Amino acid sequence: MTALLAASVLPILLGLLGSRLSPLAAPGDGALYRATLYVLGGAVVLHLVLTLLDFAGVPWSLALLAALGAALFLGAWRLLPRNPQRSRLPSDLGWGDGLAFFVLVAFTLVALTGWIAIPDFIYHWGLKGHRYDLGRGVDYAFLGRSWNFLLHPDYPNLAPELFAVTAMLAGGFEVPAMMLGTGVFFALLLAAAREGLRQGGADRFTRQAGLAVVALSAGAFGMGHRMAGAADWMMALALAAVLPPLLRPPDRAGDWQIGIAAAFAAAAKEEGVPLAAILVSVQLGRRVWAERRLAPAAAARTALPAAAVILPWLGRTVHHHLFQPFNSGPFRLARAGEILAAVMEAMSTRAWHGFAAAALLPPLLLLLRRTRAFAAVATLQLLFYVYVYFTIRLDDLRFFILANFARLAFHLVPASLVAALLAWPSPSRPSPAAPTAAGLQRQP
Amino acid sequence: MLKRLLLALLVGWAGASFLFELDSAVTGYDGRESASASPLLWRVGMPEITRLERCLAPARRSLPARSAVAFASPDEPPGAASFRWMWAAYLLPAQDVIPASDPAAARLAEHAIACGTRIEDPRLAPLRTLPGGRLYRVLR
Repeated sequence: MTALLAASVLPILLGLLGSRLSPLAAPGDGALYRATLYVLGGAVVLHLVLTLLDFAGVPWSLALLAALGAALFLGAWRLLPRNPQRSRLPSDLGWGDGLAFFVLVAFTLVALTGWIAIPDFIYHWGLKGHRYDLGRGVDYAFLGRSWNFLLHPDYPNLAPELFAVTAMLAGGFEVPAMMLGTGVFFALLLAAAREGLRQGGADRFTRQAGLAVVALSAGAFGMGHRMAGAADWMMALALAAVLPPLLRPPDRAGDWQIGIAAAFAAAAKEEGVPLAAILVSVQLGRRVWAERRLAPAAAARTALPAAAVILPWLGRTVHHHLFQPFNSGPFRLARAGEILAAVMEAMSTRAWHGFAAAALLPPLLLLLRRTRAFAAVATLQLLFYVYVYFTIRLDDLRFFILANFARLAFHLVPASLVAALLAWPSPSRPSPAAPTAAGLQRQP
Repeated sequence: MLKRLLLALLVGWAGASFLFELDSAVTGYDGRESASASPLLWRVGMPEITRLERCLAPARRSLPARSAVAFASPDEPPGAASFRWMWAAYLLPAQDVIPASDPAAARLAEHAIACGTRIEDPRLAPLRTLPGGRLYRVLR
């Protein structure tokens, strides 16, 4: 119980740290969504601090992290402008919120037992986290051992870093404390989906039903496919968190929001690196399309956070020879039939109960103007996953796809469900034009 | 009206799916002590993993941190040795656990652990008996 309490402190501290990044919040953003952005921002800052300590050869310690966190918090307090907008707690709670809360609590309680922990928590995420806790830093020598290639040594380290810092706070590596993080990411995912539905202008029934469907489908998959402790929640969260800025015309806050979500995704998983590149490219492309030019400040806001995460990761991974030779090979078009069959088989995984089909919706959502920016991001990410299947060097491609595509679809499904619901007009209320941040602020 | 109806049906389907998975998870957890599964589906609390934990617990206390340890277990059912090695690495995070079949084990390991099997090798000296296994010291 003490470990759980200690573990629950981490997201609060990350949120507090992130809350000093005032440009992250747009005028119309709700309190729950702001909290989501703040935790993402705090996690990115933590990752950068830990990376800096690793580069400097300084072992991690709670006292050092607390001192650095406090210095950053106070420095941001003094130097960064305060956000004059007060965030409003949701006043329109309904049955969908209640269902989502029930799902979140039930899922988290089951997750705490460790019974639905993803096998990868044993094989690499959890092992790395425990190892980094014991070694007080990322153990590159361990990652580089020849027999540890199954640990995905080339993956970015935010997920195991969060496990390690949780263990430091909890006084030891305890599975329930680690699993609590998944409950937190699930809660933030739901907050982002809720905000996407709200900022997308969905009517009240669609908002409630949409949130319920996202919660129930993600909760069912999370339990049936054993997803507790998986970094895939962070990918799904990053994509859901960019829905609001991608639904409105590009603006200053949107640049920051997309920049931080891109950095978070890039720090979470290797698949997050292309997602970050896609997010930054799409937002910059929208800027250029809307303004016929690209302001350097906008480019910096959007791209710098992800660059700050990706470049050190790339440097370390190349320096320690951690990229695996089987990661990519020549493009083999002849695999198309095998890939299609295996992808369809993976999508019919029981735990998805048909909801994996939502991962295929983004190409259709390209047809609609208001969902086009999100659809472009999700479609390109989907194409990246398929591209990897054409190039990876493996003997048993079918087994590989069956082992991971259902999980990769999870990155796309929650946000795609929200976007699809926004694209589905209500007869009584035609789809509104893309909202602006200022317009959302004026909404009752 | 049609949209509402379809959305309500979608919520109903998602709700039934969630309850089904919740029931499966809770039922599975309740029966974990007698559950059996292929190595790919092993989970904490299953007999196979409990046996492994029991075997490794005394070794964890005996082995120095960061020492290299070769790990062996029977490959029964086929492929199980590889999964047991990954579980052993998870359960011994302070040590570098190397599959006994890996050529690096012969070069680097200072100790060896056998769970559910025995290693007959003149380069190994038994150090202590483990529950369902044995800890060895590598002679150099």
